[in-house]
Amino acid sequence: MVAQPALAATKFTSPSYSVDSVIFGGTGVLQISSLNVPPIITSGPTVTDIKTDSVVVNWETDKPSSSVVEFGTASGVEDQQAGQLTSPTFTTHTVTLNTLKKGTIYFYKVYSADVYGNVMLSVEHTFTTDPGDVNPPKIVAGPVVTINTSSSVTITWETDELANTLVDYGLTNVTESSTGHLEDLTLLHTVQLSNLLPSHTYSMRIQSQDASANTYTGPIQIIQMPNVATITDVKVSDITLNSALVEWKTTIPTTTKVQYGKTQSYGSVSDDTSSHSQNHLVRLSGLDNGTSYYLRLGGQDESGSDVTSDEYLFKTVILPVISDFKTSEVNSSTATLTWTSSSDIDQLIRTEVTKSDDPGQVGHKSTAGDDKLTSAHTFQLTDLNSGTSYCASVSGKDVFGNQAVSPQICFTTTPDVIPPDIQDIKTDTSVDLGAKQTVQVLVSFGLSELGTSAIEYGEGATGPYATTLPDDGQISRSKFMVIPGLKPGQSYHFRINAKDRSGNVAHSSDYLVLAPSRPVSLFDLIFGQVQQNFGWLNKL
Amino acid sequence: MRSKRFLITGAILIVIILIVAAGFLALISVRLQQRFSQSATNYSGNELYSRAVAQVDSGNYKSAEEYLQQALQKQEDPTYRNQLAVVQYRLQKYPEAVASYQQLIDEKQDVAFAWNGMGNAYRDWADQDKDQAQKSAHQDLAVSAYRSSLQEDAHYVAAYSNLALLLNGEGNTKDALTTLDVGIAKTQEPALQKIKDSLQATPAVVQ
Repeated sequence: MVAQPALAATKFTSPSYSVDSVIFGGTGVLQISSLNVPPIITSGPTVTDIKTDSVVVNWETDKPSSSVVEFGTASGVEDQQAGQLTSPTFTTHTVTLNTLKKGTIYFYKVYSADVYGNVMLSVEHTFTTDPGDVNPPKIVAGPVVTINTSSSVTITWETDELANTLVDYGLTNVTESSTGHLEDLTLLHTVQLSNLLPSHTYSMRIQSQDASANTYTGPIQIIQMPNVATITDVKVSDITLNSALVEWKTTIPTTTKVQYGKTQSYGSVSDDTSSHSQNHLVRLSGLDNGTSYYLRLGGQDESGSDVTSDEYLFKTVILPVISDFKTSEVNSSTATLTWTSSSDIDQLIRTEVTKSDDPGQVGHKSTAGDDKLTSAHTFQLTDLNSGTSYCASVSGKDVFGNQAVSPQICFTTTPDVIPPDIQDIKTDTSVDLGAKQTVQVLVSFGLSELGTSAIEYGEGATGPYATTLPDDGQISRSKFMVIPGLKPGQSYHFRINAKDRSGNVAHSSDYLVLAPSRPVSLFDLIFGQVQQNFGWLNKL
Repeated sequence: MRSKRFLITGAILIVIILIVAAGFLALISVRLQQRFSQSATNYSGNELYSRAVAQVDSGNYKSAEEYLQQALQKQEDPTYRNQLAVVQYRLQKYPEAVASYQQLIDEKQDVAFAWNGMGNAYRDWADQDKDQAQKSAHQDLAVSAYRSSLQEDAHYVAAYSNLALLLNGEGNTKDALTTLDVGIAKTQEPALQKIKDSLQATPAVVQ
C-alpha cells in the first residue's frame, strides 16, 4: 500500500483504508486498520440435515458477513455456489445446498465477506449426501400367471413398497419385448400380455423399480400357451322328465352358452356372459318328457374368440306307462307275467283270488315285487292254487317316484293232475349215543310243488315197508325227515310219498340205506375219555 | 368249588375279550368315518356332487346322500338339493325328502318338479302308514302337492299322471279321469291318454 499526501482535514474512510490522523501542511501516514480484517470463522463449518438431495452448511464468523458455499463433486473443483453473496449481515451462517446427488461425496468451502469486502474463504471440507433407499422392492405375492385365452395371459404380483410394473417376455429371449406401467408406482401389479401365439412357449420375468430406482428383477419363468379354446368332458346327466344337467370343460376360461332344442336349429339358448370359467354346469329345465333334444355348447374366451362344441343329443325321461301286460305259461301252480314300461321302473305285482273251489280263498290278496329299475319286466307267480281264478295288476315307480299302473288281467290256473316230483334225495346217518345205541337216518329232499310228505321203510334190501313215518303235514317244497331207531349194522330200504295240495300223490323210487355199526371214532374215544375225567362236572 | 372258580374266571375273561374287541371295532369305525369326512372336506362341491351321481348310478343311495350333504355344506346349490331330495325319496326317508323338496320350492328352484316329487313322497309315506288317519292325511297332502305342481306348470305331465293314479287308487275314478282329461287337453301328451284308457279298461281275461 502506498502513502499519499493529505490535502484536507476531513477524516475519511473507504472500504479498505482508514486515516488515523492528519497533519495539515505536513505529511500524513495511512495505516491499515481493523476494518481491513476479513471475517474469521469462529465455529464450523458443519453440515446438518443431510438428505439424499440436500444438506445444510452452518458456520459462524466474528462479524457480520455474507454466507456463500462453493461446492463440487471433485476436490478443488467447487464449481457450484449457494448462499447470499450480497447480504453481509450475519455472524451465524446457514446455507442449504439443494439438487445434490444421493450418496455422493461433495467438496466445499465456505465464503464470507464483510461489509467492507474483506473476504474469508475456508479450507476445503467434505460431506456425503444420504444414500437413501438402496433396497429393491420385495415380492410379497406372485407372480401369478393366469391364462386368459390362447393368446393372452395376465401376470400379477405384489411388492412391499410402491414400485412400477414391467414384464419382459419373448419366445427365444426374455428381453424380446417389454410391457408394463413404468410411471405408476403401486403395490399391486398387473400386466396383460396379449397377441401371444397359441401353443407356444414364452419366457417371462417381472421387474419393479421403486422411487429410488432400486429394481427387483425376477427369475425367468416359462409360460406354455394353450391351444385355442376347446370343449371337453361333455356330460349330460340327472335327466328327469323335464330337465337335464349339462356339464363340460374348456381348456381356457370361457363364458357359458348352451343352445338346445327339439330340432337341429335349436331354438332355445342359455347364455351366461357374466363370468369366464373352465368348468361349466347348466341345468336345462322346462323340457318336454320323453323328448329328444339337440344340444350345442359354446362360449367366448376373454379375448372374445368363440368356442363351439360338436352337436349332442339327449332324451328326457319319459313318463312311465305300462304296456303289453300279459300272462304266459299259466299252469296249475304258476303263471308268468310280462310287461314293458316306457321308462325304467320298479315292479309291484298284486294278485287277488276271484274264484276258487275253496270259498275261503276268494278275495285273498297277495303282493310281490322288487325295487330293481327296468323297462322289460318278467315275474313268475308261484304256488298258485290249481283251478283257481286270479286277477293281477302290476305297477311301478321310476327313480323320481312317478307311478305307472297296469290294467287288470285275469287268468285261471289249470286243474292239477300231476303229482309232485320228488327231487334231490340225500341221506345221512348218525348214531344215537343214548342207552339204546340206535342209528337214525336223516333224509332231505325237495318237491317240485308245494306238498306234504311221508316215508315208509322196512328192514332188508327188499320186502314190505313195515313202518311208516306219518305225513309231516307241512305244505312246503324243501323237506327234511328223520327215520329213527334203526339197528346198527342193519340194512333198510325206504321210499318217500309226497302229496300236493290237489291230492296228487307221488312215490319215490326205493332206496337202500345201511345203518352203520356202533361207531368207535377217534372223536368218540376222546369224548369218552373226557367224560371219564370230567364226569364230576355233571354233579356241579 | 375250585372248578367253579375256574369257570367263572374263564367266563369273565371271555367277556373282557368281547368288550375289547367291540371297542376296537368301534374305534375302527370312528376312524373310517373321520377319514371319510376329512377327505370329503378336501373336495369341491362339484366334485362331491359328481361322486354322489356315480353312487346313484350304482344304486348306492346311502353313500350318495352323504356326498350330497357334504356338497351342500360347501355350497347351497339347487342341483345338489334336487338330487338329495330324490336320493332321500329312494331311501324311503320321506320326511327328509319332503323337507328337501320344500327347500327347493322356497328357493323357487324347479318348483313344479319339487311339488311333484313332494307329492310322490307323501303318497309313498301314506302307503307305509298303519294309522288310517295319518294315511289319509298324507294322501291329502300328496293330492295337494300334485295340484300345486300343476298350478306352477300346467304342462307338467307327471303330476297329472300321479294325481290321477292316486285318486283312482283311492276309488275316486271320476276325478282321476277328469284330471287326465285336463292333462290331455293341456299337454296333448299321448301317455296320459294311455293311462286314461287303462283306467277305463275292464279286466282282460286270459283263457
